[in-house]
Amino acid sequence: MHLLKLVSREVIINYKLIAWRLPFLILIAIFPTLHLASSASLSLLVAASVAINFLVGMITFIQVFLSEHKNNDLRLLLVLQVDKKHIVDSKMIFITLLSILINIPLVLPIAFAADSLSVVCNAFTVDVLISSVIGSAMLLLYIRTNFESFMTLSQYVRWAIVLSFMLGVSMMHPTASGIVSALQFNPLLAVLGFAGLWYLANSFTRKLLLARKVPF
Amino acid sequence: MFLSHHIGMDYTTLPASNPVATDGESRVANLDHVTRSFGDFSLKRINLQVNPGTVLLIAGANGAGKSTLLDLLMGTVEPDEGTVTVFGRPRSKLTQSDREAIGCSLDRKLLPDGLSVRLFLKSVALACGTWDHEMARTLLDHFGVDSSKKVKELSEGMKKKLGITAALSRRSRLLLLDEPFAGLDAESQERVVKELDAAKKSGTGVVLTSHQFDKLDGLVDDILVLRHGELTCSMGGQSTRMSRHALSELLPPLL
Repeated sequence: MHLLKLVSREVIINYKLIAWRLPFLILIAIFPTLHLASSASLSLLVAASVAINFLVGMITFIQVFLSEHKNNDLRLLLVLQVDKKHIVDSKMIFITLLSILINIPLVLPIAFAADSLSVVCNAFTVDVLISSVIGSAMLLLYIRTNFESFMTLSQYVRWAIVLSFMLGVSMMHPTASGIVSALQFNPLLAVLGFAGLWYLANSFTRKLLLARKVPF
Repeated sequence: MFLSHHIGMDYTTLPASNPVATDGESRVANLDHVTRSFGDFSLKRINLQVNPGTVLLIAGANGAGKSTLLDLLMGTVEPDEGTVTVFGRPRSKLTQSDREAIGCSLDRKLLPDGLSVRLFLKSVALACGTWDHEMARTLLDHFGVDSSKKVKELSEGMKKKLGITAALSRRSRLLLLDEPFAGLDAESQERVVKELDAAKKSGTGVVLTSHQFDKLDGLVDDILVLRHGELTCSMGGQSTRMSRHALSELLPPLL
């Protein structure tokens, strides 16, 4: 419940970004994919969606962290006596929600062009994974840069490995077997797979980020 | 009265000990031989006890270590040596409800410029389960802070009032305030004193730093005086409040 409140707090403090900047960014991003949808093949459309997602994801998350920096929110939460693990968890959940929000319109052109729901879910999963990785990596980089002792260097490196793994799953997605193939053919498994990955990364984060020493 | 026993003594030679002996379990906060260094500055072997329903004033010149002492109680700074316990538990082992029972003053650097006052307080309330909406509204009205304005549109004094409102509205069991009267007009200072007195009567342990001793008449129970990171004097008594005369006569020579 407390975590849920903290996530809604993230939404409140970033509401401007969501209410105005984000739809604007998505409109800019969706235009080329819509254009492609009328002429290009499905695989090109998916590739374009992933590429544009990179761009939109980067811009959005840079904005989130600029706002984070301007408002000094991590320090505020520590002064407000919020547990460090809750701080990181709520921001990670917010990043994931933001990734999902960004990607709903981005896969719309694919939804129009594809004749199977699994292809749409597939593209959506890949895009969300990529966005989450971008956002999470930027959050960690931000923490590392501004709150040096929030994480030790070894924790930071290990987290980078987790994110690389997630990114790897996204990248090898079209050809890989095993989990990836299952994700490819079952939309429900795609969602569960993503939730599972997120959960694993999150519990790993909890263990890694519970640094004994508070910064400053 | 503990203070009167020491009039005429050389305070700088007093041992760094708190005069109030209370059972450790019932204490709100406790610092035991705490040391913390930053570059050239070092806070040395500090002992401090905060009891329920008392106000502890930490006095000292600028750079004496007052804010560092508050940071140690807040948990935003870890001690190099010694232990910090709050509500009878080590600072790092506090539960969520323990954490929510600690209220801290928010300086202007922690106020988000882009949010309106209303949204900022909402964001603080969401991070705290014991938030008193009615109190926040009443204090904002009394201080004359327009809740529809953005934080960046507020004057420095108004920002200070907003930070105080956010701290007091938590209904905490331990209240940590850094210079709560600085930048406030006389009427607002009186209101803050009144709220602190009410908090104290409800059993809250209050720790504050201030240079404005005349505002603390009858409020302060215990005083610690710091000089260059060292505890040079401790005085007080749970049953007796410091008078304005005692504070203004005795403290300045010690700072």
